[in-house]
Amino acid sequence: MNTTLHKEASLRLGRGCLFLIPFLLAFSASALADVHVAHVQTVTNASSKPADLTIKGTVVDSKGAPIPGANIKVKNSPNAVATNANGEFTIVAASGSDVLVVSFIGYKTQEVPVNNRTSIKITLEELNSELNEVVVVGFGTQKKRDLTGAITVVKSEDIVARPGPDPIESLQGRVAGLDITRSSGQAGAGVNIQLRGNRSLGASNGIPLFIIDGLPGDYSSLNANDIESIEVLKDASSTSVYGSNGANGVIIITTKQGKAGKTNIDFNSYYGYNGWSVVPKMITGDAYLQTKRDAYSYVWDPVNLKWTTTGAIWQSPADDINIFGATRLALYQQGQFVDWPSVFMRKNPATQNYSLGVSGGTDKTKAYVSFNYQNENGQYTGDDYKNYSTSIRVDHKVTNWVSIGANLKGSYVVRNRATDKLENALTTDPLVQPYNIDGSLNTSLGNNVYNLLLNYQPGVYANTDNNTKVFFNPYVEIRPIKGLSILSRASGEMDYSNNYRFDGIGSVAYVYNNANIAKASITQNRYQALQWENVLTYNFKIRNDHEFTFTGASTYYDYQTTNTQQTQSGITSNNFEWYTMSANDPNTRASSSYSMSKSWGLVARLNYSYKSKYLFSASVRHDGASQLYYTNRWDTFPGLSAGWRISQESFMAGTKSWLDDLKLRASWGTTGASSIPPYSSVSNLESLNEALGGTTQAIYRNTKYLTNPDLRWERSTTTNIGLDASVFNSRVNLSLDYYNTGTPNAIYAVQLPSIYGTYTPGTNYLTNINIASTNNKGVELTLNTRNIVKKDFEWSSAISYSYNRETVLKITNGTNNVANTRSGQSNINDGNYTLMLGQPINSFRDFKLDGVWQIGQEQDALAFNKRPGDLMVDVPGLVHVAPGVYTKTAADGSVTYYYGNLTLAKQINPALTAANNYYNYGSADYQPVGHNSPDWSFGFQNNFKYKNFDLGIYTFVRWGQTISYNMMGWYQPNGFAANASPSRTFPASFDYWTPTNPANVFPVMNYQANTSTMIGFAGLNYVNGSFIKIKNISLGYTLPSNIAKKIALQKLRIYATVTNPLIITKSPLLKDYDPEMNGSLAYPLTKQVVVGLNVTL
Amino acid sequence: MKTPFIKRTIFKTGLCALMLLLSVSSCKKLDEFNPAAVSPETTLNNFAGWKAYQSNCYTGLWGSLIGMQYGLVSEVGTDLWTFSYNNHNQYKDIMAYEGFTTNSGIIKNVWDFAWGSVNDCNETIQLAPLLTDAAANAADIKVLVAEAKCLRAYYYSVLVAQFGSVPLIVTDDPVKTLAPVRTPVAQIYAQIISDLTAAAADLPILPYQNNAARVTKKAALGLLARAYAQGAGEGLSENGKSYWQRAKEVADDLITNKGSYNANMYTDFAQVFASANNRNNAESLFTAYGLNPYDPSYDVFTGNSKPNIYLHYYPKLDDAFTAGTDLFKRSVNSNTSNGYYGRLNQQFVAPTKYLINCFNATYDKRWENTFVTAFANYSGVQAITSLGSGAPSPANVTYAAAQVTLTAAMCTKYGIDASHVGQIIYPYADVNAKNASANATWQYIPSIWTKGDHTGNISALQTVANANVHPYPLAQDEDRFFVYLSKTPLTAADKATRRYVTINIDDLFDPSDATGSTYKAVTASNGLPNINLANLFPAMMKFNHNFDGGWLGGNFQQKLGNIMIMRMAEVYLIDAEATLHTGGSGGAAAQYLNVLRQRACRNAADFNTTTGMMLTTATMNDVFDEYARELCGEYSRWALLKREKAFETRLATYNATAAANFNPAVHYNRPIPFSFLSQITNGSEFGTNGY
Repeated sequence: MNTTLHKEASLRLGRGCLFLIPFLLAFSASALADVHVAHVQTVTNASSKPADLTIKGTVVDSKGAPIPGANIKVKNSPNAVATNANGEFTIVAASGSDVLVVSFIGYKTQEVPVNNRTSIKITLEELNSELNEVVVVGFGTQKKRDLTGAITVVKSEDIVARPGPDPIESLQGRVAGLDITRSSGQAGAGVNIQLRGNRSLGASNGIPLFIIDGLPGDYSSLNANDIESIEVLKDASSTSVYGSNGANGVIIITTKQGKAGKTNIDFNSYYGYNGWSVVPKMITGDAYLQTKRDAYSYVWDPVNLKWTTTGAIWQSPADDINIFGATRLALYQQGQFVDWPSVFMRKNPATQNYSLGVSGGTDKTKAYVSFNYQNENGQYTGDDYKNYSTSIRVDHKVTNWVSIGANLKGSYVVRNRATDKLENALTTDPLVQPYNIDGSLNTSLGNNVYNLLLNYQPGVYANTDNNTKVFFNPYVEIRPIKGLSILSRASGEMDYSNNYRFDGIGSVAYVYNNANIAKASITQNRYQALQWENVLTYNFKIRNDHEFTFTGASTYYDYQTTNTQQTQSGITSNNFEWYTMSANDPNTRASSSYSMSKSWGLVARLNYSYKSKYLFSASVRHDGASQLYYTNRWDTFPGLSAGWRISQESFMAGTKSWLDDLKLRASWGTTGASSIPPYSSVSNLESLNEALGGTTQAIYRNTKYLTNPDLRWERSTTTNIGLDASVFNSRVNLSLDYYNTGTPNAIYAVQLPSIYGTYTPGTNYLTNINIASTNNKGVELTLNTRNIVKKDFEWSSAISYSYNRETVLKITNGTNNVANTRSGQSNINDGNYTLMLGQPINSFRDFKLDGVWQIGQEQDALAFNKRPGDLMVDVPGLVHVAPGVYTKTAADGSVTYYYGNLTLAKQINPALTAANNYYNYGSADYQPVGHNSPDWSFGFQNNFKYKNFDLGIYTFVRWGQTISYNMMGWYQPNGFAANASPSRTFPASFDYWTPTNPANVFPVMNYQANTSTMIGFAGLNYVNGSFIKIKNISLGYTLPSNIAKKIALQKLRIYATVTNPLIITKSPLLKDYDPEMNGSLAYPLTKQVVVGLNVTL
Repeated sequence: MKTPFIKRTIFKTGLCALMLLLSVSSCKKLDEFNPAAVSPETTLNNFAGWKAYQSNCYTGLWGSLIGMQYGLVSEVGTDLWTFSYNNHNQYKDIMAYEGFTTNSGIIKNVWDFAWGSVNDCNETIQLAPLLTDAAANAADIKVLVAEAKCLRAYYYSVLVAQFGSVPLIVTDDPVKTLAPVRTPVAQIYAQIISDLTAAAADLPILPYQNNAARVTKKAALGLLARAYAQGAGEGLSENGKSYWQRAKEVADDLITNKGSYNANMYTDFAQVFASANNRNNAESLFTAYGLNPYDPSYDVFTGNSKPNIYLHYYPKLDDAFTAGTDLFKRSVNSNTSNGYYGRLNQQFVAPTKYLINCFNATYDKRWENTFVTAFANYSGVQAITSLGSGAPSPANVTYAAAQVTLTAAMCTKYGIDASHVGQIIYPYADVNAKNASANATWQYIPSIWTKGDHTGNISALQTVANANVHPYPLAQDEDRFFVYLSKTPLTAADKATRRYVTINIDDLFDPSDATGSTYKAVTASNGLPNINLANLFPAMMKFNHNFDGGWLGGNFQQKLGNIMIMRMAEVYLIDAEATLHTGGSGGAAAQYLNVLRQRACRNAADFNTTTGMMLTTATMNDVFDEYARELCGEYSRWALLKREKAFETRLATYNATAAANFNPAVHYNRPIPFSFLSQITNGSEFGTNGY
């Protein structure tokens, strides 16, 4: 990448050269002071010319509203003024024949002849403002009209429109192609993000790259009010400048900065409640008794192949004592059912946010300072999240060609976590007494059931995190000549998180699993990231029509984490918590660990625009990362794109009246995903101890990952074709994209077969290989319309629709399925997904169920050694040839007969002699049973404005995904056995099979049955998770500006928002469940009601 | 504007030079820094590093291979064991060949755990010749290599017996093919024999550095005899001699020269499983050495999981008696509740009628030293005396709290004669509690209350060899047990004299299964005094270590004692078996069995032909029976039936439940696990072993 730059600042760039100006900080003040003064003087002189005619006027928009800050200039004269807050101005012109030039961002510049008037009203015509918006792209900015990639911009007002702790959640459904779900209602819980489907298999590879103010960072503790805009870079030509980290999309967050002019003070706040979660109703009361009776009323008669009551334990109500046991029957008769969720969960925990932002500045120095406080309480006592954060940003023009600035973001998050989850509360034994008669807590419920309230006792339990995060980001930018900018920015991120945990005397852990030993631990993670980026941008025009922008950049990232942990056990008093650990105490232990990674990248990009009509961009990035084996550490990622603004063509002149803009875009590019864990591409030895013969013996063992010298970067190549149109004076804006992404070498850490040894017993060695070829194709549509625009009433809507089809094309190690992929990201349990040819990446492979064997199907069921009431597993390739007889043809053409009754089988094949040949359901019968990524999703935002009222309704549809719904697995066919450990319950909506109830989902209720051995039971978990929900309704009232002014406010708005008011699920099995939780039952999503206030001083 | 321009130009030029300098130096190094690992090249080329690597070869031994996983796979599905009530679901694949598929989790475990350390053995053996540093002492290297060979042979012997032909991997090749091929069984046995022969030659009599976990010469010889016998079942021979002949030669050598190999036989069977003999068992040839909760090494355990084998052989007492309501005081269903029995919440495996009837309990003490047939409550007087209120809850049981006063309702409920109403059932055991260490936590050390002494004073406690063993037969006036499963059928009149629930073991079996492989169900018509008593069966207690050091205080399902992988008694059994296979006389075979039978006699005088304890001649059935009496539960029965090709006959006779589904064309080998087949590229070629 050797490039010759403008003569005045020419220099040669070799490979690996970068621009950096850290020393400028030290030099600048003294060296350039005189320039600074001279510049100021020039300005002063310019504004002190004599005048002849004083003109007063107002500038308004097409609706008659005043435009403050508009520029008014006397043509061919230095005289210029700006309008005040009421759109008024006063300017002095040389003569009555002068012409005023009136301009304002977003409006067409107008020339107004004075014609000797002293009072003028000017109406400015709005430009197609969207097109002139500046969009942040990788290592630079571009005007929206010049974009050639697929980039979606979300503005600050949309980000704060849905109150919540996670700013990214507000993007849900706004950005076509960006799939966002929140699966946990826990205080401070984050969201799951996936852009344009899954390509990568590795746990951390699926998440988009977040760039905060130019550098990679973590958004989780950012306050939504501090965000100016979020840009989502979707296609590879946009993301290829991020090379090895761009494969899963890039989300660029730009925080607010000060603006020149009047000081602005914004105060935003809301207060409300979380709660009202939908919670499945569990079996209690009479239904509980009936279920128990059902379980004990029948026994299977294998001779006559029927369920019979003969010999059954329950014959009449007199036998209730036999099925309950005396103690539990007494509890039952007293009606001692506990509604655990209501005992266990807080009614309406409060959530609140206060945010104060102050910004202002001069032409030279601008500053922004904000303070935020957020406090969210979870639905469990002891579950809360507090975030104290600040964002400080200073930008200073040292001279007209040197700027420096710094940005500091700090946050301190305190978080408490409860132990037990809704799942436990729902399914635990309901037939117990949580409190003793005297009102004290019943600490011994027996039968392996612990009282869920144990940890609510004062002082027995604590699990507290505190997390201090500082992100410091200084920069210096020099613009030595027109069009050339050299920016160097560095950042240090320090993230110190501590966890303190105490399971004291009387806690759940103490009673239940720590053998009456109180334990404490302190875990400290220190994360340090050093980043340094240098960006050179040179923008120049040739003959006015050919505009070029060259960007060159170098990036260097260095991440380190150290972790230390201390534990203590045998703590004798709950007073001590974690405060009395001591090196002299044999029960105190310490451990530490460390990991690091480094990466290095060089970027070059050229953008070309011909009259903003033909647009072209080419980029290349060369990247290296320490995690990869040294032989293949470096790789290169190219990107190309082009755009054609058809509407600018002369032949389109006739459409100008209605077509504002029409652009066709096409792009192609390659990005990578390198984020395999550190140390996972090279094999080493670990040193540790083992117990041998009752003594300690030092040992070495191999590290978990074995070297694969052939491991290469995972590369994704995307072709994107897009169309942007804006019609009817921007009343309708449409954006349509088609993409096709191929990832021919997705990395996955495969388990080596144990014949090559195991890392530890039962844990296979892993080796990263480029295992799979995956493909994603999809269509995205964004449609923004202003349906009704009247004086007092406005209705606008925004639709975003995305469809994605994800396919595994090839698996290189030969099998057509690889189980347990994507650990760490799976739906419910780690490693729940299987990689299968032709299926989406996050696919489930399990038994496919055809319902339950019914009465009348005894002989057929017998061929599988099953009974009516057992689950009917779908067996691929099995043919039902006659009642009770099935056949399967092997690859070699041989036919096997399966039957339970030889007499029946002989009628088909007299040669058969064995008394039976059961077909055993087994892993060979596994099939794809759905995928966790949606087929399509749809977001529909409607905004209404009536006078000063505004109403927003947001509907979200996510369709086609299968979820692994934990609750299904809680079905207990054994009738809540008295001594099972423990006696669980399940939702009342589970319609199970009995000889008199031919249900077809849940198998037989029988005391001798057991879900862990009902083959196929695991298949029940997979439920269609499609849903439609009204995610959000928000109603606001803005004080009329004339009234606001009287109380010295620029703006005052109050609003109320309801979140998650309505959920409709496709599957009836998801009764009382919000499938956005994706199968989990730990922290239910809440319905939230808040009232809020936006004030601008 | 001129001055700034010049300044700027100078400035820029300097800056660029600086940038070039910086960039050249910083873009070169992207190497990883990993302070937590060392490189094999610099570590394993010296003796100290290599020896530390070698020690890891033992990791695979003490964990699941002696836990429930291999414990069940190696024993059930045979003539000895069957389902208890209400467990005909769990493990019906290995217990009864029902629904046996490649996704049997327990078979996968055996596969993975047996393979786990093979590669470490390979690399150890492979690297040994390269050691040249000063500390590399040839004598030490020889022993450590021999240990690795012995361990490798053991791991392969498990694999070949269970799975038949598997890949034979004896080197650590850096290129690991994902298309492995199987090696014929004969070749695998040849490798095992060769490893064990070399190991037997090079291993010392006493363990290296006196570490009792390390294998010695007698281990290699014992395994060699066993490997020959097992390979003999495959019809193998070596240099013209059948493996049976070689098995006999090795066994004879071990027996004849046992003194010189430090191989021993206890003179009394009770000593074999006596608590005091667990850690340094003289009869053991090869021990999976357990964890010492009092030693810091407890915390650095590297195995998979601590063995949880014992509880699967016990009935769920909570299901038979609702714990805490009447006769049975402390639940065994939950963790850290019952400090005498541990946690008995599984009841997977019960003895077949055949196994029970193998024992002539009148004379053979192996019965009560193998099976618990009387169950009792326990107290924690010692713990309360020494720790007061600090006694952990499993031991916090006063003498009074451990007593049951019989009421009319209890007697009616369980069929105890009404004459006993008002009488008290006292505890049998009393536990002390000691906190061993932070993580191993409490030990519950049992002593036994002297019969007839109801003072509840510690002075009335006796220390016994094995607190699981109770008096046999249980006396009519016994007042320390609440239930007794009588091997000898007792009459109703006799039962009426006893203050405890008395059930004839025969009555627990479902009469419709003549082979005695079906226990009665809890149904209204099971004919037992209380229908829930159908949960009971004799409990095999060889692995229920409850001595000081045997408990894991935080998890009562797991125990920490040593488990013998092979003991000397097996050598006599192999010798008897090989004698019959090599044309020896029944009389000659009987001599080997008599060694075991003699020490099993409850009274020395009973060892004679009249009682039947002394054999004059032995048939193959006698050998089968003796294996059952002596070694039941000890990781061997399935392999015995396999090598004797005896599944078809013996299951048909003694275990109709398993016979119903046993398919000799398939079930002589275990299924190759689905997970393995999906990790390799040639799964369909490799095959499932017919599943």
